[in-house]
Amino acid sequence: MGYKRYAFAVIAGIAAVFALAMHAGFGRAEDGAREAASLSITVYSGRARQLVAPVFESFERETGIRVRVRYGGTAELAALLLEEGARTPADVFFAQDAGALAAVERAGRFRPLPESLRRTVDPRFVSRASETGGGWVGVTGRARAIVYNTDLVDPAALPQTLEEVLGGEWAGKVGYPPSNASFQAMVSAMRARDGDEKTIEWLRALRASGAKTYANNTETVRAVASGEVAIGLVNHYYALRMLAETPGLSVANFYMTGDDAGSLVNVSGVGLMQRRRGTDATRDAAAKLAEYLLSESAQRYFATETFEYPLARGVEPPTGAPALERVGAGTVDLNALSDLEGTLRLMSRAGVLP
Amino acid sequence: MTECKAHAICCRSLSKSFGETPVLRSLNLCVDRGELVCLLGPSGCGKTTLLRCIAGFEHPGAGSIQIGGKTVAGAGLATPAAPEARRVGVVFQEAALFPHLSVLGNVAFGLSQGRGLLSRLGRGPGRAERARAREMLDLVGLADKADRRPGELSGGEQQRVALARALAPEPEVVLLDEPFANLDRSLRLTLRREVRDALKACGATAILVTHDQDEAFTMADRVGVMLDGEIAQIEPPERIYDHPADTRVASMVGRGALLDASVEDGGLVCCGLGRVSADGIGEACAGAGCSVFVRPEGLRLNPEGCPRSVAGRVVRVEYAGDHRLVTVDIGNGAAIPVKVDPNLRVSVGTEVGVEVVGPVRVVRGVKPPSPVTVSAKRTADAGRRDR
Amino acid sequence: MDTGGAAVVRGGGLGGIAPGRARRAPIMLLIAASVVGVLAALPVVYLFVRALEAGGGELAETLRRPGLLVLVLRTAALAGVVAGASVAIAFVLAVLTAATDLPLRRLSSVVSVLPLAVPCYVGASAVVGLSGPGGVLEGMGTARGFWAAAVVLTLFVFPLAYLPLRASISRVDPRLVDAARSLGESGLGATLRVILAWSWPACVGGGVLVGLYTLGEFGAVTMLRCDTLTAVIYEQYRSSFSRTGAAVSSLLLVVLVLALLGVGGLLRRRGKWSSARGSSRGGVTLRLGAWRWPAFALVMLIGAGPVLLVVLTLLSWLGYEGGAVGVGGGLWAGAATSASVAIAAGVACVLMTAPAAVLAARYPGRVSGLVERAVSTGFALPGIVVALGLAFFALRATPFVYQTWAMVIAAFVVLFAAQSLMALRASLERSPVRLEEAARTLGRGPVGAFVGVTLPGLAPGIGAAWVLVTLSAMKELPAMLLLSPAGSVSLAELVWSSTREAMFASAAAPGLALIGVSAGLVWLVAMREGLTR
Ligand SMILES: Nc1ncnc2c1ncn2[C@@H]1O[C@H](COP(=O)(O)OP(=O)(O)O)[C@@H](O)[C@H]1O
Ligand SMILES: [Mg+2]
Repeated sequence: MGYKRYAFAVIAGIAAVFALAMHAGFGRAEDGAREAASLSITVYSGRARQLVAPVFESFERETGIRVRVRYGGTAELAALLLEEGARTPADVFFAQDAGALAAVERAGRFRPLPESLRRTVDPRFVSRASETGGGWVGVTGRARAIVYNTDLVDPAALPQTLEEVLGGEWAGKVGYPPSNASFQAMVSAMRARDGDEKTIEWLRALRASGAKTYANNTETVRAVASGEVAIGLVNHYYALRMLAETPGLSVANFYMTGDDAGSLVNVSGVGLMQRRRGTDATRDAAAKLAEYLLSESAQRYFATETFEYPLARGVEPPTGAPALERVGAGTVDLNALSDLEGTLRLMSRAGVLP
Repeated sequence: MTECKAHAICCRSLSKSFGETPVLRSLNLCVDRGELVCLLGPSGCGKTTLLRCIAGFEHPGAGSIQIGGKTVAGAGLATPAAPEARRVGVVFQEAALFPHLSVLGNVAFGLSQGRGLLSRLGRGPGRAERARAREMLDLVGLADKADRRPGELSGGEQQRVALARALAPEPEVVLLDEPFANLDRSLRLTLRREVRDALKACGATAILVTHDQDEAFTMADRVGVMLDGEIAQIEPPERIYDHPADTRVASMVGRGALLDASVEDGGLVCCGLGRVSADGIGEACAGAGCSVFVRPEGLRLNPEGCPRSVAGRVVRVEYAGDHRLVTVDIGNGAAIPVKVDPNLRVSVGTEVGVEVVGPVRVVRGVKPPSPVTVSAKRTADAGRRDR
Repeated sequence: MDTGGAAVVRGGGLGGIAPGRARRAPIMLLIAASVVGVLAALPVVYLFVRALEAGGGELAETLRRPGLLVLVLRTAALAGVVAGASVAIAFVLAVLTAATDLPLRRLSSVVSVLPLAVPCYVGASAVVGLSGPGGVLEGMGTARGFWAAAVVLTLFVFPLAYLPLRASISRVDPRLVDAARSLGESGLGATLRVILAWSWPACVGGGVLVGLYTLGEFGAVTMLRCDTLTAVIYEQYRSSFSRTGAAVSSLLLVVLVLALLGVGGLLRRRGKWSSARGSSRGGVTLRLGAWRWPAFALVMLIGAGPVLLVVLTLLSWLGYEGGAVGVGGGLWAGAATSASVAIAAGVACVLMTAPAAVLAARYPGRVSGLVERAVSTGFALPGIVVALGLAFFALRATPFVYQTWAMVIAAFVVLFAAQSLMALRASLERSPVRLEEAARTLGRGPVGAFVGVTLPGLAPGIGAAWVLVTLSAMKELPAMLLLSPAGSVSLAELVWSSTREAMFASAAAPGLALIGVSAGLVWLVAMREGLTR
């Protein structure tokens, strides 16, 4: 009787080991001998599988280079990269936000980028260090926007600057996601432009105005759609995506054009990793991938499928979004966004984070 | 049922089945106030089931139960009363003491019913409850062990605590289900006395269930012999021994020989032991054939060929200290136990004669199946199923 | 699993097993038992390394961070509330399913474990979705904050407490309840005064386990905006280049773990069972009378209600437009990966914790106490900490295993050994030493006696341990993300990456697959635990 149960466990164990062995066949990170046969590179992607997997797949099809992707949170992957140091198995880091890229850059983990690659993109969206040493380059742009409820708000009355968001008429009607990386990037930009004092004042005033906090951008947009708040401080593509999924939601984007952090354009970007065990072939392949991400077809994909701004020159922005030149007024040196810790500390001092 | 007001407990026509199997069959039992009744019966005859019905843990299929004059089950009662509403104390075979409470806490457990549930949960026993619990512990001679944990007591002590616990709330009746079955023999002997004394000291009404004949006889005011879910006979121990109501009781209680007999004129019966006079012919015999019963002490062993003796051969000799029990085969497969002086040396195979010297009784009912010789086995395995 | 807490809390002698204490543990057993303890302690060592990297000033500043005290208190309060509520619910369900004449007890028992099949983050995102625009709970205000997190966590993790309680209550000696009732105690009173007291060690053990789980929970608390220490640890990791703050916070979490274990030990000592000899035959059966069907409805409501809500939510997501992006074939690969890794992790965990369980049950002492503490800490540490800690050591000491499945399985052992240890140990403590002793007198060696006598009786415990770990491993996210070989897919990752991009349509299929596979495992755990008896 008891032995039947063992039999079950033993079979389960054997099945698992077998399955693992099969996985290990193509799952193991690297194996020098095999690499020669079919070149493969490893990407740490802080961008979600659903958003970028098609791009990697078409890259594989076009070049014959295998791309093995570790998907994860941008920040977690950055932490892992820093923990790994030169022992990292990653060839490429594709990150969701400039802060994490800058952190990895500052730790000296990036290789220099090919000159041609840097020139593809507006210098606002390329790390400055990339000229001299290792750095990163932006792939897509993510503009800050005010999402508003079209039933509750007259677009003409919307705030034009972050300062106006604090105005009395918006008291208790604003939603924002303080723990969201994009919001924090905006705060970092604010610090870089206006200094810590002004920033903390703005945050305190925002909090005092009765603005409501949400877990993330999606939540904030939902709250706006439901009328729980009238406007939300978010990235531009969430409303666009949600409208694509559920047409008829009463939300729309408004892009502030004032010369402040409210019109920041943050990026998702890519950097090439310093890797002790890398070969010339993998280095070339990694650079090829970065180039591919900035190629016209990939860029158009981002514009139409993820509703982000293509950063390579000459590709149309997503429908319904104004030209990149018009929205990026508040963009600061994106490397300044890397002091996330300082920003978090400031935010918790202002009481918007625990 | 007014007559039951006089009784502490009264079961009428009680029936209970588990599934298709009947366990209690129209059982009647009444116990007077202050009386100690021992129910004696083989394992599986339904003793525990009866007690569980009385206590309210099982619900009888038919019949009624009255406790202290109040009907608690049957007799038009829509739902049987809950166990906690019956004022019945129970002592189990295993003491079933609450392991998380001290001895005192155990005894005081049932004393807090006046308080609200939260108070019972939150607080230990109050002053009056402690006093009463100590009194009960005194009664069973365990006053000095009040602060022990149940696990730190011997088996006998645990049973005494269980009795104190059951007696403490002054129940209408105490039910004891083979309370000594798990104890060794010498402890059992002393505990019988102590438990009886304690019960009598409180004037408690009690039903004690056992499969041990000595236990029933030494403790009981009345012994009820229980067979197959019925009470076959309920009378003082002497009566049970001397006047078993039927062949089943006769074979249950004590040893003796049960023989086929035919009735003859003049108060005589003819059986394997010859033509002897017998009691109770009129009551128990319908027609010519019946059974007669004789105890080992009603027989005498004579040398072979003595007059008035039936010839036979010794097949077994058992030494019991104050006597010897000699089993004699008198033919027809009938083996007769005879009680003899312990100093009398007989060996197996000896040809002897058996003479009737004591009373021979005609008993009701058919002869039980073989073996003809009835021995109230000290059924060592009897209590095992209950463990 | 009646002594569920035993895995993590010492105390209260088990009378019958006392002989073990006098003997000294064989050295091989000590070594074998320490392996899992050492492994589980690695992340803590890593945390010290990272925390000490910082100067004293930085440390002091981190500790003086405004709101830190509130944060720690809130975390402790959440763990306490979730543990208390879970034990309360688990006790009610365990009594109903193990000690009453509830209708359809078989079904009820399985349903009571069902919530384990739902990952907390999926449950939370369903609740968030339901309370958002267009959701059924829309009118009820947003479900956010401390109480929302407490409710959601309780609803989905109480089975961790239910399992040990169910096992304990099904072994209550029915005569104890009979005795209480004959002493005038009502059914409810007997339940509370006898059954609760009897199962107290299991209550405490289950509560500690739930509390530990809550301390390390990340997905649900962030989604429901209840900032706990773990949420803040993740936050701090996002501020990438200084891992000091996160390390210090994690060490604070370790302190909370030790405090929780301490509280558990104290609570456990309150229930002083001198000899918790269970009954081996049929347990208590309280009559519910007219309450039978209402009670059944309650069990279904608590057990199946939230699960059904989540499944329905996911099904409704399936219908969203903008369909599943890029999941497609990944679903099968993900299911295969998740299942096989989880199964292997379960086996590894059982094998590695078995010696520790034997040590704890037969030779309790300092070593077993330390191992239990280490393993409990592993259970409560956030996955990212465990992942980074193991990466730290693997890169330096064993680079060849880095980014292989072995890493993931090691992480799962660290994260979930506590559950396995608990189940195995409780099962061992139930199997009487006497039997082993009898086997010894019949000429078997110690190992022979163990294999021949104890192991067969241990089968249900082994099954329970294996399934609990496998189930947790299926749902685990951060360690899987960071340590699995690049290029692999798992169900948990598919669900997570879809929900974080608000692509609910593509989260639905992997979410349902995850719940489906887990529900199958729950059914197994129910079988292993003899719940259906
Ligand atoms: N709960 C039960 N379910 C089914 N049968 C039972 C149950 N309890 C007792 N019985 C059966 O009823 C009969 C009488 O049992 P019991 O009252 O315990 O006997 P006793 O106590 O005289 O040894 C036995 O045959 C036993 O198997
Ligand atoms: Mg019995």
